[in-house]
Amino acid sequence: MTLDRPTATRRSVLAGALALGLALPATALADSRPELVVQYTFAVAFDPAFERLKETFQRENPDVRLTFRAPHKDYDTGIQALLREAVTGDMPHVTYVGLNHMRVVKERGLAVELAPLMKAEGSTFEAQGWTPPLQALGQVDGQQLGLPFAMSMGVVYSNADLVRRAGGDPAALPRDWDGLLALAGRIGKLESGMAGMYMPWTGASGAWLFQGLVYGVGGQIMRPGEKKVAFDGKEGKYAAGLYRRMVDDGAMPDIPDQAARQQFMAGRMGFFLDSISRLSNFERAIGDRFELRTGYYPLDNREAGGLVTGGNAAVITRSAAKDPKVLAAAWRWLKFTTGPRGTNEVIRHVGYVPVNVLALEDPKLLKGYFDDRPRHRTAVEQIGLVREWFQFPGPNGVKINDTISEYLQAIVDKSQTPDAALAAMVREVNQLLPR
Amino acid sequence: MKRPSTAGVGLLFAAPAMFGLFLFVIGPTLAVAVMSLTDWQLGASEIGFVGLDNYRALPGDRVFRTALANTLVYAGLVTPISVALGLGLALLIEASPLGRGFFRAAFFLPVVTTTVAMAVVWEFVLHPSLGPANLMLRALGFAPANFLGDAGSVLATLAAIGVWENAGFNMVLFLAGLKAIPRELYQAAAVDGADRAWERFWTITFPLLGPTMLFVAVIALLRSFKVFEIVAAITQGGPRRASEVLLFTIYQEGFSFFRIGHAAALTMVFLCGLLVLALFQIRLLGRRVHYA
Repeated sequence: MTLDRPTATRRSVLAGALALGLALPATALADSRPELVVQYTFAVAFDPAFERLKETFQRENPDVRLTFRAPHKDYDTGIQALLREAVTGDMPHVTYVGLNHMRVVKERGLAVELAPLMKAEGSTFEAQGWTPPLQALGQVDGQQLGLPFAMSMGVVYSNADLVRRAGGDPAALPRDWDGLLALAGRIGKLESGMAGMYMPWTGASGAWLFQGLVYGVGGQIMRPGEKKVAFDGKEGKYAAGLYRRMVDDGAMPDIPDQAARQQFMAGRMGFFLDSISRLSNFERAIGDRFELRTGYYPLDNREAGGLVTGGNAAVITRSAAKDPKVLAAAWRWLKFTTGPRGTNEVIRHVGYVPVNVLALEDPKLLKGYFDDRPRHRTAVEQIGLVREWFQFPGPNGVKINDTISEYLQAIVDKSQTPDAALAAMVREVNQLLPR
Repeated sequence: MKRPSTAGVGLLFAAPAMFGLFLFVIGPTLAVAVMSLTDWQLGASEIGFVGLDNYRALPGDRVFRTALANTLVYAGLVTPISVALGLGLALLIEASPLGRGFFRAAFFLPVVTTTVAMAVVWEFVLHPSLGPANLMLRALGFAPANFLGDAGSVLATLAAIGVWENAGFNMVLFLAGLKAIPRELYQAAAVDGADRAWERFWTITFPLLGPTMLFVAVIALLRSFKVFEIVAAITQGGPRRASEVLLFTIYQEGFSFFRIGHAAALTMVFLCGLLVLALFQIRLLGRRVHYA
């Protein structure tokens, strides 16, 4: 069955007009080089890095004409646009997709599988820094659909001044939940209107951090081959219970994510637990109002536990596969941006965690870079603990994250006990999973 | 001159507009109606016909029921208050020439500002611990309130912001209505002994404002049903879906969850609701036309 007429017509008219607009300058130049169209996300963060990458790439690859499309605001708008472009046949050749949307990319068949391209490189590919765990981040059900470009993970942002006032050592924060919550509780008691800590349970980070808590005690989100979630046992109960303990012991206020961020920036909160990708944002907003530090994410199970990874992966879309020359150029660009030099630019201009470890060992690139940047170093030292950002299968994959957030809210605002909320959450998520 | 050719020319003149109407209004509406009968997911290459399944699932859908109830409560709060407030402001401004231009502009300002930008401002004003609203509450000896973060108060808070946004719009409509009332009627009433403010309002202003009132009431109702930006910008439907409203649900289902079929069914239900309201308006207004 085809798509309904009217919309398709309108879309193709728009797409046609757009294509005409893009094509005109090209014809004027009579440029015969293949054009590689790239689109990235998070303009505010990534603009400087991509400008520099483009410059270098263009110098080294004069046979390709590289153009950027206007970058998207965030991962959600990025994938939405990509899905629309898939319908009109107007996808960019390379795009950067949030790791949480990789399953959608696979299910809609938007991307070119990279395994054959990687195999063609032979043994040199892994030697260039793309280690198997790194490759795994770009895989869905074993298919290599992307290579990770920028990677993030949870850290503890702390207000060192408040930590000291509460009798803690900002350089050595407790690495277990009991210790961190107790310290946060003391900070909350320093004066009225002071909050101990905050860890988002809604928005982009909410369900992501919940996965992190489950991983942290050695649990799993879903077991392979099962059609139900795996966090209905003791690990899930522990994770759900932690949210209530954050409120009761850690003096976490029940306020919206954005309000909590403002309060932390204003110096009225001890800890903010969130992704390292927020670092430059916090640094800019806080300035010298107080001493901002980062600490390790609490981990109760050091042996089996891990931390959840966020970030995005570079993907070659189906539209690049139409022309072998474009495909070859796209592959070169992919290797360049996810390789050591791309990693170097991202770390220097954006933050995040290095994806390509070779960059860390190269004195021309990042070796020594983190020595006097302790805030960045925290995340680098956690790299060994990364676990995948689990993507729920089926058509309701994204909605499930929203459902998880909703029940976490019920735990935090005490409208349900943690056990009851978890039971309801598990029931509803299982219903949304494909049978 | 021959009649048919006039009609032909008329049609010719109307054709571009008709074409646009079909292309941008009727066509997409039909497309949404068709989509609502499918299980299409955004970007999917397959599409399956599922009949009325999407509609049948709605009554049992907890999110839809919550969104519908919230939208009705929101409209029920915002419509009467913003209409009454708009009327009050218009009467006050009309009553005195002093600072008329200033007050008119001041109260109309919320209408012309960008809702999303204002949402950020409101978010700060209502911040649970740093916001001026709570600093004031605390200074007056009250407990601080978690306006936007508490499931019990978030909808009322959004409604208050909605009133602030819409009252100025209603005020301008009422000002226009007031201008249309002939001065002589007031003079005649004064001669008849009805010259106190309340008597003048009740015997002349209010009845003559009837058609304006109805128009404003229905427009205000439709506008309040369309609440979206502020929810998308501040609360995202939370906490615990306490501020989930229909337009936001449609947006989220369609563009965040990619469930186009379901979102299209929601859109059709929403559209039909608004259509019923519009028909209601035309019938009531029609009865009043002779009055004006």
